[in-house]
Amino acid sequence: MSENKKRQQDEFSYRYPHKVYGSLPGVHQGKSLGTGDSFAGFSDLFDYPDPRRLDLRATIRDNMATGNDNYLVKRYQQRSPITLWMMADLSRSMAISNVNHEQLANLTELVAHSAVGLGDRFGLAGFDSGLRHDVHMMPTRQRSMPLIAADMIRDAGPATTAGVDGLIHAANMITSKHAIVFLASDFCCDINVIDKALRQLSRYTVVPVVWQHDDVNHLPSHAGWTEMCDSETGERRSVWMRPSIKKRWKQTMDEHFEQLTACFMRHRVRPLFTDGDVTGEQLTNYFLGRK
Amino acid sequence: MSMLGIQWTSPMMLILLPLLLLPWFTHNQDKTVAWTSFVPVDSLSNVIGMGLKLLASAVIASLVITLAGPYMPEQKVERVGSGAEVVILVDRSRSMDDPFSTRGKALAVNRTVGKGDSKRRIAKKYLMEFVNKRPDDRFGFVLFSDKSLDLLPLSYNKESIRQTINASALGKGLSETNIAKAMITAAEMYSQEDYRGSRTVLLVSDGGQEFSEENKQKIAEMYKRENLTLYWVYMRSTTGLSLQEEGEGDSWKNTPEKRLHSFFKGLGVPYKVFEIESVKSFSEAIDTIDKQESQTLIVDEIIPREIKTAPFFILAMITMMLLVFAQFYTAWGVRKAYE
Repeated sequence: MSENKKRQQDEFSYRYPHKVYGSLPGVHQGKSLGTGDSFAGFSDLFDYPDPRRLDLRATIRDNMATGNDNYLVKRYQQRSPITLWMMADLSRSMAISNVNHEQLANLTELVAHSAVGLGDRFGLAGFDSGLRHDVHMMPTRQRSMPLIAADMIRDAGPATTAGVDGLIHAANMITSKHAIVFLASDFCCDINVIDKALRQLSRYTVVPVVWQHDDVNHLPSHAGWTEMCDSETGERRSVWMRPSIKKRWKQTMDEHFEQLTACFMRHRVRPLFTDGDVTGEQLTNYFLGRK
Repeated sequence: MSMLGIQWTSPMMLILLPLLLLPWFTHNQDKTVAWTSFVPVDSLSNVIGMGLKLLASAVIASLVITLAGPYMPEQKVERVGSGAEVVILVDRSRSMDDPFSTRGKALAVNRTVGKGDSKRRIAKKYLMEFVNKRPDDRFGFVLFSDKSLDLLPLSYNKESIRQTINASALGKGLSETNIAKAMITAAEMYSQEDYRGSRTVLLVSDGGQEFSEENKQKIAEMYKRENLTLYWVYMRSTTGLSLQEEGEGDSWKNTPEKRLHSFFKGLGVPYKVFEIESVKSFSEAIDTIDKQESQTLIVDEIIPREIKTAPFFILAMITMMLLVFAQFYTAWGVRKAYE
């Protein structure tokens, strides 16, 4: 941790693809008029009494054309902030071997740090079978918040019940007008739940971070008697491993992730697949590839 | 505690028997996987899993059973067999150490204690064969020189009669011969027993002897009373000395062998003599006796206490080996998966 603090916190740059409406100043292209750099038209000096923005050429041309006697001032679109939401899957399957809360916490810190750095707000919604109230943070701009958010995830206890139904509730929590939603999960669950959540989040830009388990965490044996228990439900399943079983297993898994990808495609969402720590560079590339 | 006649050395151990349910409740080999829905449902695997658990239960059960020590208690079984009760009288005098089959040779002077062709050893060999041929017979064994030694009272135990015959061929012979005493000992052996069937005395000797009047009387009386059959296997040492020749000019008339023969003949009990000149005639004699002495006989058989743990040990070992194999195979599979 100490080394982590000494090291400069990794960050990434991102763009919000739509124009943002809001009164507060930020960095994303906005729709509201105010101080900014993108020209939004002229207005009467009487209505917007800002003589610094007087455009004499436009005034003369306008007066000659219309016969009025107005002074025109330039108006600009103001840049506005957005909100970055982190929806963190804290279900039990997110806490086995190569996929763990530490990585999730690192990602959260990265997203939060980048958001605060750009003056955007950051909100955190943890979920498992329900909403996790101990891992929850309404959107804020506090500078200390990235570490607090990360520690919240690190300190989070294991899920009490199985399932990811909290995903829907967590999606309901997101009420910001403009938001990029990072949905970090292993997506080893019913596609219908994901579909439903994505539909609810359709107003937002969703970035699904798909944590992929190692193969051994899906099927821990190559041959012989294998007893397995589900990380979520504790349901037991035993097989006598042999090549045909392995083939069937591979097929089922590929099918699941194909369906998942198709579901993302339906919602115009591009997933980010990872099997370890997510770096700022990865996310930067992700956002650059977007436009 | 008994079941099917089986008894237990330490029946308290059977309290451990519920341990065989252990394999059905342990899940110490569970591995956590992200989502079991990816794992295919496989009926063959279910069967194999059931089989492995059954095997493990079988191992525990059989080990517990061996701990409890099942055994069949000693049993006495009465059955009807065909055979006889035979008391074998073997001459232990020194002349029995002489080589056999002396046809055409002078009387051998060298005593061949360790050689295979002494009369004693030939007798031993054929007696052994006789014993082996007759599984239902009851044998007694008397060794005699100047005293008679009833080495083995009448017994059904084939192993002990075999060992007794073996042992009788060891060592050197003694000097004297007292056939009368041996014959009385044999008759006494029978007089202690209930009459069960054919009773036989098989006398193996290489010489005869004059009995005293007193002994003659006693023997005649006892043999008649006990209803015995007498066989004399006479291992002839000198060529030409035959018991049968009863000519007028028989110069051997007064030899002890001939006198004994005539005494036996006049005894009033079934009697047969076998003059053994060669190994072949010995085996023929044995065969003849074997054929003649097969009357119905009530046989008391004692089946000794039998410990029944062996099949359970074998069962446990085989199943354990199967399980160990499965375990090694699985371990290999896991290692391969993590590679």
